[in-house]
Formats: sequence, C-alpha cells, structure tokens
Amino acid sequence: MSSLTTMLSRFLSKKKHANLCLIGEVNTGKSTLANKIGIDFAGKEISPVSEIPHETREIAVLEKVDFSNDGKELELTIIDMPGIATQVDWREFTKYGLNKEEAMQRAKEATKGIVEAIKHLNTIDIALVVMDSTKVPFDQVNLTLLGALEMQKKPFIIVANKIDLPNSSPDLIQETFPQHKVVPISALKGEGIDRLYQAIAQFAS
Amino acid sequence: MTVQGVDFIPEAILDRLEAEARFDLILNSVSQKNVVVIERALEPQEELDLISRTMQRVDADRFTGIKLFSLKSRVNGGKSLFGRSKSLTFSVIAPSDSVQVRDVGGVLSLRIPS
Repeated sequence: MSSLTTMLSRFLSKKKHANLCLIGEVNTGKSTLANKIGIDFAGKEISPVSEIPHETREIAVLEKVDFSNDGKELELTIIDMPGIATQVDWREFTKYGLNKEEAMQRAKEATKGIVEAIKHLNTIDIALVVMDSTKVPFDQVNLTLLGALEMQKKPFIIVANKIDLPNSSPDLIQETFPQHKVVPISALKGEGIDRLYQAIAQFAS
Repeated sequence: MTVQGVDFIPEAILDRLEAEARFDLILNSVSQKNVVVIERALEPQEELDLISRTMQRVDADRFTGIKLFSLKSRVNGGKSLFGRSKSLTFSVIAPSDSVQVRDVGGVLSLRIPS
C-alpha cells in the first residue's frame, strides 16, 4: 500500500492510529511479545524468535493491527525493534553453535540493527520497554531508553517479561522504577497479557 | 586486553566540542583500552548517540564495544548509585572486553581481570 493510501485510510478511519514499538535490551522477549500481540489481533506473527542473542537484527513491522480491549480500539502498527546493546562480540555467538563465519556475520548485522533501532526511536507513539524479569533491571541500556523516552515525552509501559521462569522478580523492576507503570507478563505463556492489553487500551482515549 | 589507563575528561573540555568530536574523543580513548571518566553524566540522547557510534566502530577482533554508566538518577524517583545531587554526577565508559562491572549494594565496582 502506498504511503498516500495509508494516510488516507487512517484519515477516514475512526480509530486512533499508533506506532506501538517494542524496545529494550537484547533477549528480553520483545519478538515473542510482538508475535503474541500480532497473533491475538491480526492472526500473524512478526518476527522469528531464538535463544541466540540478536535474532532480531532488522526492524520488523506489522501494519493495520486492529487492537481492541474492553470497548477501546486502536489501529496499531507494531514495530519490533532489534535489541539495544553497548557491545557485540562475535565470540558470544559461537557458544550457540554458530561457526566463526556465521558468528561474525551475525555480529555485523547486529551492530547495524542497533544503529537502525536507535535511529527509529523517534517514530514511537507508544513504547513497550521490555525487560527480562529474571535479571537485575538496573542496566544502563534500560536507564538510557527510559531517560530518552521521558525527554521526548513519549508514553511508555514497562513490561516485566518472563514471569513464567522460577527466578523471575518483577517486583524488583517495579521497585526500581516506582513512578512508572510496570506490567508483569509471560509473553511465551500469555500470563498477564490481559493486564498489558488493558494498559495499551488506555492510549485509545 | 588489559586496561591501559584512566582518562578524566572535564566537562568544560567536552562541552566545547561538537558532538562528533566529543564522541571521537571518548571512543578513541576507550578503543585504546582506557577507561574514560567524564565530569558530568551524559544525557540520554547523548548516550544513545554514543552507543550508535560505538556500534559503527565495532571491529571483529580489535573493538567489541563499551560498558557505559552514567551515575545519577535520570529516571525521576529511580534508584541512584551515588545519591541524587546533580553535582555528583558523572559517566564512566570502559572497553567492554577489558573490564567487569558489578553493582555491589549500590557501589559501582569496576574489575580488571588479570
């Protein structure tokens, strides 16, 4: 669809449109969550998932997602961003069975993905800042992203993902960011997803 | 991959540079295995720009990136490592493959493996 047709379609639609961007560190489950939302509201997955870090190395987009919750509706463009990291070492990927050539190629693509993700942060209307609740949340990437969103006055929800894992501690994330809304979920199992959808629906009005 | 030294960059020197030169100053030092301490905390957008420029410099064997810490409470009400006074803020940028960094009970601990 051309951008003109897309703009006209949005103009004629009664639903509010929003770019819903999933951002965060590497391997926090952004793509798993993007797929869950995509399947629930558009019947489509957005990105492949893998235990190997930096599986999402290009921005993945799913347009015209008709989101509704409790009578509130949004037309979403879901944008699954590559995970942000301050370091990329190809040797890390060899621990997952990749050979040197594959690992170096993945590292090269990962660095480009991070640059692209940072470049596209200004396209955000609503951000889901996805954190891994099995890890200590006091990481500079999280602080940098939240700080940048606050400075740009972009609305965001902190998603404490992976609560299905026994060592998860979503309370620690809430304690670390007490002034922000934190929604504990398991994107993989669907646990808590209704609370997240209710939180997203607040942006419909 | 041992750290060579520590460079302290005064706020006055950093702030009189254009953005590009500012990041070059930091990354040239870090890529030569120095830890850089800046006399003020970088702003979130500066940190994003620094990460972006770091990724453009990542090289398979010579430079794998940075460890970055800005010590102040930039998320209002969030935890702070060294109090909340703006006068105590600073940023630390270290070569990622040469240091281990831990937050031990609110103390930022940089360890240089032997």
